[in-house]
Amino acid sequence: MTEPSLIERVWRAAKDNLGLSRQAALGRIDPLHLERFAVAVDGSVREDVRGLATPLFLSSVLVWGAGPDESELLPDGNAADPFSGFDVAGLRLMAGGQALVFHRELVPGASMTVEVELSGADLKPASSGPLLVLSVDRRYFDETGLVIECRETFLGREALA
Amino acid sequence: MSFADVETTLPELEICPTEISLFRFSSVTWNPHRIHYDKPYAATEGYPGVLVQGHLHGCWLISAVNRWLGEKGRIESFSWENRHFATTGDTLTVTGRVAAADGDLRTLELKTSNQDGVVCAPGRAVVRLTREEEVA
Repeated sequence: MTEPSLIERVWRAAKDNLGLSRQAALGRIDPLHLERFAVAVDGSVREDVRGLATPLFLSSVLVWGAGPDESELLPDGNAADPFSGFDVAGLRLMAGGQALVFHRELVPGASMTVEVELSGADLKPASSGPLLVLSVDRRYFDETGLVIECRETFLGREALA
Repeated sequence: MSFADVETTLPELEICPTEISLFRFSSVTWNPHRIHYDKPYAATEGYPGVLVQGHLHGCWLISAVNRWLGEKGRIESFSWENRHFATTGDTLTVTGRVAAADGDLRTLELKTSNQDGVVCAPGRAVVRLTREEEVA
């Protein structure tokens, strides 16, 4: 029997995590972080949006706490377990895009929580070799309810030889 | 005539990503992936320079919508795909048009292209107009 390839092993591990939901407190959204994010995107905080959160702030931040120790990062700099459940070490993982629904404005200073669920794990043939397509659903809440829903796609390929 | 009639085009947004802008975006999103700030590492994956973050493509697309829309409405939904890499030294242009209207809703088709016309990130947004005079 042939040993499964790395990408097949990650795919199987991902499938074991499908539908599992977890919650995390993100803490208070510091207005300074929102302004820094706006400067990183637009080069400055535009006067017409001053005091508002850039819409993709929540769904762009990869890690809300301190994150893994540097010694625990993979050689490419990524975390080995970005989805809290299965190891993707050895794969080249890229962001594929997002689909978002905005229910309300993010209010600077609000305390947020997030629900995260792996909603899809597909292994597809591609011209450059097998492609792992992961879908991650995130729902962001403030103290009064749902603010943003986001489905993000991640694409994984085996590392170059 | 409304600013949001079907086939209206959004003002173009031109972006020239630099290593500083990519570094700052990685920092503020706590993204440690070397492909965005380590040019020798990016070369090992076959890229000519450090790559624009996928999330930053999304931010530029939605920024173009916000600049056009201002306080005349709100974005209800938005999506984009990362189709082709972009790197420092590229000149990127975000374009968009009003593709459809349904009452006070407008569907926008968006894209970011590089200087060679290659589409890096197509996107779509649905906005709800909030000023009565803007709703045809």
